[in-house]
Amino acid sequence: MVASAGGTALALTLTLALALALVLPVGGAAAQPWVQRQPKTLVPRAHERIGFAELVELHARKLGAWDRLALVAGAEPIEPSVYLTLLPDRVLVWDDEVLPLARGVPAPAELASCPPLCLPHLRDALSRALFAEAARVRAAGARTPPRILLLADSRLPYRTFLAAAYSAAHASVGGPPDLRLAVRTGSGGSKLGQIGFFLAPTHSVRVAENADPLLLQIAIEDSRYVVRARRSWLPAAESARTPSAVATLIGELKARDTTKTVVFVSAAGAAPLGRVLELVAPVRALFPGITLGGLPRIVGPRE
Amino acid sequence: MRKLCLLGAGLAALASACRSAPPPAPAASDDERARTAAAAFLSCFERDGAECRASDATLIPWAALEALALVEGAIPTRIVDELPPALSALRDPALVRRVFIEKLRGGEAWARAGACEVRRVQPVGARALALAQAAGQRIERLGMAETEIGRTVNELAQAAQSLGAARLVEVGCTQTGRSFYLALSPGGDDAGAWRVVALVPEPPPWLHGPGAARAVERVQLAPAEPNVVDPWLPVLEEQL
Repeated sequence: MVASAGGTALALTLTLALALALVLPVGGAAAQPWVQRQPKTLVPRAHERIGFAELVELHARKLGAWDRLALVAGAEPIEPSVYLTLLPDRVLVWDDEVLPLARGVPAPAELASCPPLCLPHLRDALSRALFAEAARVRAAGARTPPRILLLADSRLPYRTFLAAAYSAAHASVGGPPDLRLAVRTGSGGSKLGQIGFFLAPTHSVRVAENADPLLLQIAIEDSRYVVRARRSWLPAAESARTPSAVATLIGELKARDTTKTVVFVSAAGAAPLGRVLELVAPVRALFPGITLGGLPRIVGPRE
Repeated sequence: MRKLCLLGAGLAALASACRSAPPPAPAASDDERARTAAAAFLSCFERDGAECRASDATLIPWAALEALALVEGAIPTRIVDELPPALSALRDPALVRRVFIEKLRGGEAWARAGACEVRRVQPVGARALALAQAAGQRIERLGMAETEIGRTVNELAQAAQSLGAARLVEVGCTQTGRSFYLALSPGGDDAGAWRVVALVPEPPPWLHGPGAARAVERVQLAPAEPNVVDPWLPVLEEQL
């Protein structure tokens, strides 16, 4: 009898405890929803990867530079590099402003002969950036040397672009880093791409006496393009009115000498960069070794 | 007259009684609270190790500071490489907690063998807030604010606002001659209580702000091909 009464009391207590346990938290939460703890975790996101090309494109768009990049078909995909952006009012290395420009022109005090022409502040900023990038590349176990990518407003004077490019070339020792120019490519210029280019050295270049260099040059003048090459059967200079006419001319040279890949391009300093790049697009299909800055002094081959 | 004198004496006695009331005890400063909490944690830590952690400590804001420092000061190519995995690690609170516990376990041996004591208390909240702000600004400057990654960084910068009072407490161990640091921040379920949110062997590098511009050092480059015409014209002679 006693055991039965004890069992009933125990069952009653358990039932009551269970009912309280079930009801109280619910009632409490319903009565005071504001006491709920703030979530301590982040909201999951679907896409949290970012590629280097995407980063550069976002940055270019933010700076208003995207629409001013030259449109070049068949450009290569972007690779991680140090990048500098040339805008009409400033020059940036990564996202740090290093130099002001006035309508695309640096103050005369900023220019120096490095040689032939460079911007020492920009060169030093690029040296630091290259050093940091080289450390990153090394830490990642890659063996590719650091590169420099130039994003340039195509309205800039060619002389400013060249000064920035030579500054980049002098930012390392032993030789210039790989230089690339960022362009819009793909259908309607919707993608970011790059084209490689060289700069003409200011020192003499020695080649073998028995070498037979073509030394193809294109000079961009106000209303025409002047093509020269070291071939006896060619007239001293041939001129063309349009980039496609130039392409036809140099196509004939390429057909006769398929191993040649280098073309030296020069232009007046005041010409807009866009005019130079208009020519670069068709020419690089035949001669991908675009070398800006004109023909260097070549020593060695017999005339 | 006598009554007046008595009244005056009474008032004077009352006034002197008021004057002699003990001044209210000064409120403990955040430095003291952090020191007290660190000392309490340390005495438990010497005995029970990682078990002394507070289960309600909010660890993500402190853990996020490293990622925010990356955004604040790293070159963009490093941001592309390192930020996504850092953010993904912060997404998993269990992982953040596990890392914290591992750090505590790593410090157990020092604390048990070293006769450790709390030494310097350093306020780090202002730097944490500045770091969060700078990271947000850089994300904006890079045009990434509207990307998923940018939103996450801004969310973390927002979370880091809770570290305004954070302190870094140096713990010196006389036996081993080593020291380590405890990061403490008020928070958890009891908003007034200080919790240990990190144990680090040395002050985090981000504490000193973005590095000053280094001296110019040039990278030495060699042409990829040995037979090129010139380092400036890295092509073979027959290509000229």
